[in-house]
Amino acid sequence: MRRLYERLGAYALWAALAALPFLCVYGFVHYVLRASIADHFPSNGDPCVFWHEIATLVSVGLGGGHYGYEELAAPAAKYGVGTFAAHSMWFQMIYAGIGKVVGWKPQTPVWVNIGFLTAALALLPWLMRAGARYILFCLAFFASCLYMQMFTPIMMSEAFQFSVAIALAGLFFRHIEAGGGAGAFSKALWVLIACAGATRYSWALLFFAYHMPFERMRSPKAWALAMAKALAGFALCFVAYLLFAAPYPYEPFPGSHFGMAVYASLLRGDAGPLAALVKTNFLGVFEPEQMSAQLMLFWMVIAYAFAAPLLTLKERNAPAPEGGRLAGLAMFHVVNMGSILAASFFYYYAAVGMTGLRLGMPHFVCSLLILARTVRLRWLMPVLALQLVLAPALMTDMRMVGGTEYSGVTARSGAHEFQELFSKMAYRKGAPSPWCNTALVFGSYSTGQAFMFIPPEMGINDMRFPEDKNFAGPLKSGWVLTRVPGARKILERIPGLEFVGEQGAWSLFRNAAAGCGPAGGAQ
Amino acid sequence: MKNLTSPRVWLPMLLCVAAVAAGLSLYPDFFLTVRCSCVEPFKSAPLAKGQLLGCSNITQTISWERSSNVTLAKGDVEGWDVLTPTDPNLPAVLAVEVSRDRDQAVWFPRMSGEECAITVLTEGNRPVDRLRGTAQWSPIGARRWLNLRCLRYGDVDHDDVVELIRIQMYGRWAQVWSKQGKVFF
Repeated sequence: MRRLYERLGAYALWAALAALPFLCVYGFVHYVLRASIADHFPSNGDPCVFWHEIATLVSVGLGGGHYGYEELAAPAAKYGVGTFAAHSMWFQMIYAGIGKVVGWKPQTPVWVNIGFLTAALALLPWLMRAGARYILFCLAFFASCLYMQMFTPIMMSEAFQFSVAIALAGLFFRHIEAGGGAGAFSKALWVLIACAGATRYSWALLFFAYHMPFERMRSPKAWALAMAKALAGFALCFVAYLLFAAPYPYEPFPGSHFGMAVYASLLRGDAGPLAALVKTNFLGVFEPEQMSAQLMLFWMVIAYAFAAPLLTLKERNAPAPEGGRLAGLAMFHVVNMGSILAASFFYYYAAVGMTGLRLGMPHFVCSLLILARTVRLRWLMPVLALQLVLAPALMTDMRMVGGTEYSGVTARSGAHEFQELFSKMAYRKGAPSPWCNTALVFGSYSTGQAFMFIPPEMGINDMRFPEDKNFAGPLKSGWVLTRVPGARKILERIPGLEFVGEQGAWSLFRNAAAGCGPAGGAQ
Repeated sequence: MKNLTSPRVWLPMLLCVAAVAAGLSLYPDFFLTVRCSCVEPFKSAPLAKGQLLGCSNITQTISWERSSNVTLAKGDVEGWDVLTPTDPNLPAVLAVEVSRDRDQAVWFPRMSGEECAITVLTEGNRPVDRLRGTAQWSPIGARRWLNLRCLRYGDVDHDDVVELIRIQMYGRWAQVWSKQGKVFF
């Protein structure tokens, strides 16, 4: 009977863990923001662009326009398909697959994100073969993790990355426990790393942990073979990522894919760009109003995650098989956390503001969940303590971010300023080039929720105000929008641009020089 | 007692204390942050029957240059005006410069209809209060408290004496009541 009660208790905790994402998001939105999930309307830069990219995939698949900056397209553009911006297009494909089935409305991402988190947390105890104590720890960690509750549901693909981190933790635990041969679990792990690596290539570095030669740790040949396999896996993800990723041309990586220009400069003897990269990524305050200072503390926690396996090794005078498993785990943590550091030198901002948190948190959670299963939980109490102390600061920032993202009333009422004008951009099926179905937002960066009212089939490109006062094009995009008076004057003198109309602060031009034919007119 | 001397017990405890101390050191005022982030937002008393105040000694100015889509009309109570959206399809922004010489102030919103909402934003566009309308008119004189100390938490410049508060109104029947050009009492 007692055993029955214990099992029922464990199932109840399991159910609570699975229900946690919905309960926390509901509580935050209703009781802190005093809004409802139905009020969700992407309003900030990234959520708007991501929503629109997915809307394009749902509407016309790869037949949409080009997303990106300064009219730079990804390599896939050579094949005549619309391509995506600096985040490539793989996570958008996953959301679009769901959107195709359930529809894609402004509030859909929140529900999809809750779904991802719920699925991952429901799987976790099973993958970890965990008991009540472990589930209790997870409940305490995720219930106090305001980042997961407040930020990830509104920011595609962060909920997806967070869910991937949780699933990876469970699968890696099985894989390492079985000495690298966990059958279907190991195969599932390889597939998950490959999929996750295509959406965010820092995950692909986990191939190095995956292929670690557990049974022949002292064999150089086994190591060489394992590293070759890992490199091949990483390269596969990297190429898949690059294929649809339009270059990000702004600082700190001007004019290049993944900071290659920085390293090309270094080879030419100019270390200035690399110094600027290090300063921006590790010493700068990129988003001063957000969590930068607190993030530095997070790095301390991450450092602690490195220390924990060592503590464990010392604590347990382990016999050979157990010691080998712990060594494998230690290696996993080094690779997992080290991949953040490695990625920081090629694209991501590791230690700055919310952007850094977006990169760091999933890897950190992945390591933490495995640690919680392998070391005594008392060693992880400082992580919970720190998270609780940081909660008020996170709450402050998240209320600001969430406050704008759950303001559907505001967004829809503001749409009167441009909706009619934007609807004049007509999608051209079978157009000679995706550029014909691209709207270029000229002269300003990050127009936020105005993006949401650009027809979903159109790709959106950003072009900042040109430094050259005599800029005269040519422009590739079929449609050009601006809300900057100075930029409009520039557009008026670019050959081939025809003024279509204006509404509020916005002006719309059609680019007759884009080679889209005479039928590319406004409706 | 014997267990307490074991590093397996005191070392994790020491690490917890260190983590908490390190976290606390990041805050300029931890308790103010807790109050502004975790206590004030949950004080969501509905607009209940109240009483309009006779006068205000808070130095304040409505900044019409920074306001938009706001109309000032005569209220239903002698001596009081209502500020409301000119075009109900667009959000109205009422900007008020308030001297921050006290901790709390009272203001008088009034609404009718579920499409109505009022949001109070700091100068840095941080929402500090949000109200939504119901099918019924809220009572005249229903008070809303605003914690002025919380306005500046999280913003870069903490030393300004004058605070710019933006009140955004959505919907035809979203109102902020004022008397002799004063909104906060």
